[in-house]
Amino acid sequence: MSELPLLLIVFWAALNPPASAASLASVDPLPEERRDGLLAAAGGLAAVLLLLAAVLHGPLLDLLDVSAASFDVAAGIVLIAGAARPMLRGRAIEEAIAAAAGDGRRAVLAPLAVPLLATPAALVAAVSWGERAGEAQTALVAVVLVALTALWLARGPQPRSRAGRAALDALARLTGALLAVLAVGLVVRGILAV
Amino acid sequence: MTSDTTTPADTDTPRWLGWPRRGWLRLGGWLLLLIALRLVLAPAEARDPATSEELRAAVSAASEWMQRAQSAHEDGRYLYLYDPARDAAIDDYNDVRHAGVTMALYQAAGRDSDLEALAAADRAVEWMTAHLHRRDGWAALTDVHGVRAKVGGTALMVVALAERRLATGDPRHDALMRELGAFLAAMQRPDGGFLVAWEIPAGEPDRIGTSRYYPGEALWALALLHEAFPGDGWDEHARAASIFITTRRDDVEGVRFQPLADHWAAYGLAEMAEWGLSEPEIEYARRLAGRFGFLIRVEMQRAHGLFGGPGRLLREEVPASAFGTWIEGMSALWRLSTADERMADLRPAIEERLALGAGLLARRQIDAAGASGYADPELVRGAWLSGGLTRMDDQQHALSGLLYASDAIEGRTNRSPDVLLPSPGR
Repeated sequence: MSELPLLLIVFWAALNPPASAASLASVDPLPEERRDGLLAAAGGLAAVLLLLAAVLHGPLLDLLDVSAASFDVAAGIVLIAGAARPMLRGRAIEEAIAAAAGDGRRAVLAPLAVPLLATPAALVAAVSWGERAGEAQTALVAVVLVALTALWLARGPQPRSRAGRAALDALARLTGALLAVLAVGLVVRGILAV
Repeated sequence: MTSDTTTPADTDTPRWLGWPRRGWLRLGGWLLLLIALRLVLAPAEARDPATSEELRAAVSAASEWMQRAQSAHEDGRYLYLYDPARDAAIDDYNDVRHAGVTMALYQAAGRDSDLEALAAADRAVEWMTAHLHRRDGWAALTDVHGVRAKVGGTALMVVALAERRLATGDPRHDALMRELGAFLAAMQRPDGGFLVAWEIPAGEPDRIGTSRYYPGEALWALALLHEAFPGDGWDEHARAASIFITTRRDDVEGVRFQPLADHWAAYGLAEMAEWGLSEPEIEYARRLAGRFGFLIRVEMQRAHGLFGGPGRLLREEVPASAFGTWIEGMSALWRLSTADERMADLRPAIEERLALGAGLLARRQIDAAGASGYADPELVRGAWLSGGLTRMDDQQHALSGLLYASDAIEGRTNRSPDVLLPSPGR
C-alpha cells in the first residue's frame, strides 16, 4: 500500500500551516508589496532544505553512524518538542520571533524559511520517512505542503474576526496534537524495529 | 522598491547580532535538545560488519577454550567461573549451564570437524549421565547435589544429545533422549507451560517455582526430539509449549517489557518452521526480532557512542552470556525468515543487525595477545570477560551466536553439519 496518505498527514502535522498562519497573525502583517516575494523566497528555501533532508537521509544516517530505527526514536522526541508550542499556545513560534518576519530580506532565512516553513519537526520527519517511504515520494509531499503553506501565508492578513482566529487557534492546536500522536508512534516504531 | 534596510518591525525586541534574542535562545534550545538526543538516544553505533571467516575463527577459539577449561576437572565438568587477574576459579557449578556448554561444544565439533571437541563434549555427557535421576520411565538431569532435577537442565541435555546426533549420526543416546523427553512431557502443564523442577527427596515436582526460560529450552528440546524421532508424538508437546510461550508466558511470568528476549523460543520456532507456524506464533516471532534488534542496537551504541556512549557511564558492557543470546535469537529468527514468507520482509534488517552485532561480539573475545598478560593465558584466550571474570556460558552463548550468525552472513540455511563426524566406539 502506498505511504502517500500517511506522508500527507505527517507533513501536514509537522509543518502545521495553521500554527504558522496564527504566528504571523499575531504580529504586524508583512508589507503587502513585498509579502509575495519574501514568502516565495522563504518557501523555496524551505523546500530545498526539506528536499535535501529527504534525499540525503542515507548519507546523513551514515554520517551520524546510526541505524534508521535509532534515528526514529530521536526524531520522535524532536517531533514531540515541535508539537508542544502549537498544542499549548496555538502558535508555531513566539511572537518576538514572528515579529522579525518584518525585517525584510533578512527574514527570508529566519524566521520565515526556518522555523516557520521548514520546521525542525518537518526536517527530521523528512529524514525518517525518506528512509522508510522512499526519498522521491517523501520529498514530493514535503515540497507540495511547503508550497501550500507558503501560499496560505501569502494570502495576506490572517482572519481578523474573533471566530476566525479561534478557529485557526483550534486547528493549530489539533494539528499539534496530531503531531504528538505521530511522534509517539515514531518512538514506539523505533524501539520495536529490528 | 522598498529598501532592505527597513527598520525592524518590532524595535522593542532585544536583539543579538541583528536577530531577536528570543530567536537565538530558541535556536540554542534546539541545539541542546539535539546534543542530548545524540548523547542519550542516538549515539553512534558500531558499524563494522563481521565476515563469516572472522566469526568462524572466534567460534573455534571459544571451542578450544571450553576444551582447555574442561581439563581443570577430571570428571567432565568445565571451569565454571574464573577470575583471570587472581588466577582463581570460583567454587560453584550449574548443571543447566553444563548442558548448555556441552551443546555448544557439539555444535562447534560438527561444524569444525573437530574430533577433540567431540571427545571433550562426550566427557561432559558422561558427567551428565552420572547425574541422572530415573523414575516412572523418565530420566532427568540433576543438580550437582542430586536433590533437584530442573526442566531447563534436562531440556538442554536433550539439545546437546540432539546436536551430537546431528554431528555424528550416531544413535547411541537415542533411548536416553527419549527418557529425557518423557521427563519434559511429564512436567508439562495442561496450559503448555512447564513445572520448574522435580524435588528428588520429596518425590514430587516443585509446583511453586517458575522459570522464564525453561519453557523455551523445553520447546526447542521437544522440537529436536520430533526431528529425530518423527513418529513419537513429540510435536504435540512442542506445539503446546509454543502456544504457551507465544501467547501466555510473558503474562504468566510478569514480564514488564514484552516480549521476553527468549533465544530458546526462537530456536524452537525456527526448528518448527517446516511444520507450519500459526499467525500468533509468527506475530510473536516478529516482535521477538524487534526485541533482539533493539537490544543489539543499544549494545552497538554503548561501545561506540559519542564520548564512549552514555551506557558506559552507567555500567559495563553486557556479558557475552547475554549479548550472545541476542545474537543466537536473531540468528534463529533469520533461519525462520528464510523458511516462512511471513518473516521474509524482516530478513534484510535481521542480516544487517547480525553482521554488525556479531562483529562487535567477536571483537570483544580475548585473543592470544590480550591473554598474554594474565597468569594463565590458556584460560583467558578465546574467552569473553565481564567485570574481570569469565563464566563458562559466556563462551557457550557467544559460540552458538557467532556460529549461526556466520550462517546468516553466508546464506547457509541448513543448521546441521555438512559432513558427519566419526563417532568414537561406534
